[in-house]
Amino acid sequence: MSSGYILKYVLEGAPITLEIAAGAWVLGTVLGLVLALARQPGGVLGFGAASVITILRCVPPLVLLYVVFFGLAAEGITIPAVPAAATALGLVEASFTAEYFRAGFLTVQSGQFDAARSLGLSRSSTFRLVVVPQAFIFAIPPLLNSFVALLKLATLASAVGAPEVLYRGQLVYEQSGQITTVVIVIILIYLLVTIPLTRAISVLERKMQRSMR
Amino acid sequence: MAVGMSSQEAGTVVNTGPLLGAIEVGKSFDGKTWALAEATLTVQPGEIVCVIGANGSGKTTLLRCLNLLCTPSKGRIVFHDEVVGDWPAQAKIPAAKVRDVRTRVAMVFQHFELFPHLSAMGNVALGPRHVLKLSKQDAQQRAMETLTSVGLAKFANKRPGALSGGQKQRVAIARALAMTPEIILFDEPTSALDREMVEEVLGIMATLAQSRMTMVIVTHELNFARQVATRVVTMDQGRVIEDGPADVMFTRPQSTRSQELLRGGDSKLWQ
Repeated sequence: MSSGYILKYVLEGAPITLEIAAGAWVLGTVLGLVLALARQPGGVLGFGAASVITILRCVPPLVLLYVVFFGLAAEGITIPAVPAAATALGLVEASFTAEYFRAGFLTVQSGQFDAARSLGLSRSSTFRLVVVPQAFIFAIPPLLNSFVALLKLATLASAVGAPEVLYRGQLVYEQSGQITTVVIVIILIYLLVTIPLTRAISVLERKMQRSMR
Repeated sequence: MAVGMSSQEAGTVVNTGPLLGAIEVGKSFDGKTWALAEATLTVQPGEIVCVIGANGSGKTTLLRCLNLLCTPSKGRIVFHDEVVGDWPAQAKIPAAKVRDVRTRVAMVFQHFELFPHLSAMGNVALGPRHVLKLSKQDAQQRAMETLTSVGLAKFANKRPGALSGGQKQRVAIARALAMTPEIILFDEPTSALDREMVEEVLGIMATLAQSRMTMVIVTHELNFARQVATRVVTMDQGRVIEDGPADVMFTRPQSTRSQELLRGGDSKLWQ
C-alpha cells in the first residue's frame, strides 16, 4: 500500500476531526460562559455551577465520552459518534472555559461596575454590555489555544468509532500493517493544521491587544 | 443635549424641598469604624454644592451613598422629598427603585471609568440606548450632540485609550449629561488630571454651573469652588463640619477646621 494512499485515506478523517473540535469548542465556550456567570457573587446558581465545574474537571474525557455515547444509549438515547464526541469534549471544555471567563471577569475593575450601575443599568445588562465584552478580550487567547487542544483531544472519538484522523489511521494500519507510515502521516496532518493555527492565533492576539489600547 | 441646558432658568433656585438628600447617613465598612458618621447633606434644585475635605474625610462615601452605589449603614436617602431608603430599618430597596434614582442622578468619577471596549460615542450612547430605551439612531444622535457640547465631536469614534485624561473626563461628563439627569454628582473630577487638563474639565463644569445644572461637586479646587458654588460643605472624619452659602463659607467660616480646609493649598483664596 503506497504512502500516498495512506495519506489520502487518513486525510479524509480531517474534516470529522475539525467538526468534533469545532462543535466541542462552541459548546464549551457557551456553556463555560453560562457557568462562569452563574458562579459570580450574587448568582443564584453559584453552588450548582461550582459543583458542575468540579465534576467535569475531575472526570477523564474518555470516561465522559463513554457516558454520553454508551451510557445514554443504554438509557435509550442514541447519539451518533461524532455529536457524542463533540458533546463530551464540549462538557470537559466548558469546565475550563468557565475558569477563563471567571478570570476575565476578575480583570474588570470595580469602577466599571460602578459606572454601569450609576447609569441605571440592571445587573444583567451590566454583565451583558460592560463586563462580558471586556472579559471576553482577556479570555480569547486561552479560548483559541483550547481549540488546538481540542483538535488533539478529538482523537479520543476513535474509541466510539467516529471516523476522524486516528480512527481512519487505525483502519488503514489494519489493512496495510505499515504502522510507521501511518503514525508519521497522522503526525504530519496534525502539524500541518496546528502550526499555522497557533501562528494565526498569535497574530490575532496581538491585533486584539492593539485594538484595546 | 447641550452643556448648559437645564430645566432651571439661570439664577433661579426654587425651594420646593430637597431634590436629593442624605439625612444623618452613616457608613461603616468593617462594622467598627465609621467612614461616614451621621452626615446630612440636602440639595435643592439649581444648587451647586461643593464638598470640601481632606482625603479620607468621607466625601466620596457620602456621594456614593447619595447615588445608592453604596448602601448606608444608617440614615435616610431622600429623592424629591420621598424617602428612598431608611437604614437599618429598610435593609433593601427594590432594584427598580434604585435604578430609577441612578438614572436621574448622574455621577462622574475621579478615574473616569469609561468603558474601554466602546468608543466615546458608544460610551455616551449606552445609557440612552439601554436605560432610557431610545432607538439606536436617537441614542447616537443624542450622544453626538452631547459630545459636540463638550467639544469632542471629532473624537466620537475614538476608544478611551486613544484620549487624553482631560478628554476622557469630558466624555465621562457627556455620558452623564446624555442621561438628561436632574442632578450630577462629581467625585473629584480633576484629581487624576495634569494641571493643564484640569482647566478644560473645569471649563465644561463652569458652563454647566452657569446654566444652573444642579450639581454636587467633591473637589480640592478651591478657586473653582469659589467661582461656581452656591453652597459649600466642609467635611472631616466622616462628619459634616459646616454647611453654608458659598460667600459666607469663603469669607467667614465658623469652625477652625473649615478655615483650614478653605484656606488649604490655595493662598490666592484669602488674598
